[in-house]
Amino acid sequence: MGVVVRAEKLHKTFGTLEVLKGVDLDVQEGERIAILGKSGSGKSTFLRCLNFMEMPSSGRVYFDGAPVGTSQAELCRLRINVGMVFQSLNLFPHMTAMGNVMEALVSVKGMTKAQARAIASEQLGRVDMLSKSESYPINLSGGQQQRVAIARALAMEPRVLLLDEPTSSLDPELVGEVLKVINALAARKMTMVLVTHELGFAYHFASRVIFLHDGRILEQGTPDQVLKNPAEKRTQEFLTGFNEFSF
Amino acid sequence: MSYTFDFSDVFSNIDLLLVGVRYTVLLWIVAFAFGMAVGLPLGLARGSSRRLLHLPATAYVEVFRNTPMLVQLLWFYYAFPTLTGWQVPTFVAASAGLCLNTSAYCAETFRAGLQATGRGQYEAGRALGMPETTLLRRIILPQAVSRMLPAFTNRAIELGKMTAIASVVTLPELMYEARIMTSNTYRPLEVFTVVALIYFVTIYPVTLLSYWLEARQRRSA
Ligand SMILES: Nc1ncnc2c1ncn2[C@@H]1O[C@H](COP(=O)(O)OP(=O)(O)O)[C@@H](O)[C@H]1O
Ligand SMILES: [Mg+2]
Repeated sequence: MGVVVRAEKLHKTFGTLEVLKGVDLDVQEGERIAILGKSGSGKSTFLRCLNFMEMPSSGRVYFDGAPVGTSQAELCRLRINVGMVFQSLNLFPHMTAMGNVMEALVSVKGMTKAQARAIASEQLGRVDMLSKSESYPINLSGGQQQRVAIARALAMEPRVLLLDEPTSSLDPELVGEVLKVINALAARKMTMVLVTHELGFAYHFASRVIFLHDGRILEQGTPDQVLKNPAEKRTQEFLTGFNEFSF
Repeated sequence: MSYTFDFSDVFSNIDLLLVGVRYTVLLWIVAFAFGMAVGLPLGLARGSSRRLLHLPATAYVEVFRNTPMLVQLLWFYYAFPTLTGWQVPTFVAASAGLCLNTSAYCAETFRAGLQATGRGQYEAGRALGMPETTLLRRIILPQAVSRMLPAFTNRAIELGKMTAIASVVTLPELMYEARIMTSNTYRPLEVFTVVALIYFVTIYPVTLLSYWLEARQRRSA
């Protein structure tokens, strides 16, 4: 098992605000990492630095052992390998569910429409959205949209999938269907880095839990270590804030 | 009020007006096509966060938006031969002002339309590995176009009427021919009645087209 993505001494500053203060992380093949932390602690920024949605102010990102440069070609190649699912869903509103999944297969990977359609059908089937493949995003529920977004990311066959609070914008009754899809990915040994506030889900999902505080990794370990026996006072405080949290 | 209309002189020279219409339409098409083609990169530059792109594009747009069209037309008409030493054809010199002015307006429309497309759409495209040009062509522009459509059709209709200004630099378009005919026939009322009618039947189809495009867009939304 090798390291797929490595972050080394990542710093990120917005103006005068230092959001990441030196974060190191090795993502091993097959790992499922859950990142927890208070709102504003830098979770999204960290995730977004891994696929250069944000340019790190300093530090390096390695993919398969090689440092990633900042030319457009290198960034595009990295992003094909490191997929991302957003909190805000972000389907393309002018395309059907099928069109959303096919789009980058054709326009980025250069496949024929027939090839792309075959792959898109398979991916939509896996998230149980094949019956809605000709629907436009506006006619889909939030949960359905997010499942299409996951299919769209997976169609590119990324080696790692980054998920930034994929259920936070959903109505409570729609959270389950998306978490189910993420669990199915875990069962297929997909390498994932998930930012979430669903602690119960993180406990069962993650092979490693990371607690981010004020732009630094304060604590990390197995779900049992971090969620049940946290060593750090800040982690304990954070966890007691979730009173409905149960395993 | 005992004026008797007499259209006979106008109708016997109607072929002059019809030649004029051809220049009017040509000028219209050239200026609009140029405006759209140059307006897109200009609008992108204007919306860019890079100062090297943003500042010149902004200066260009603001100069054209804040000086009279007539002045611009005359300026370019005289500037070409005087400053560059080129003896360009009248049509090129006369159309330069209209082309550049239209590109400045189109740039603003493109900029506003592109900026109104949410950040999430740019990010979703980039996260799939799309290069910027693909992102623009496949994701951003198709969404922006429907938002920009009314501004572009308005501009096209305005531009059709603005071509009349080119008569001041002796381009033999419809308005120029009308003024020549007036001084030859002393029948301004008849001449401009017919000319107004010709402008109307030339421009009104584009107005109808804009209604049709907007209705089609409402249906698909
Ligand atoms: N593009 C940006 N420009 C300026 N400040 C930002 C930007 N993105 C995030 N921030 C700031 O960085 C801090 C961390 O944000 P974020 O990474 O989104 O935290 P989290 O995801 O943990 O809630 C916040 O204070 C936020 O306001
Ligand atoms: Mg966040």
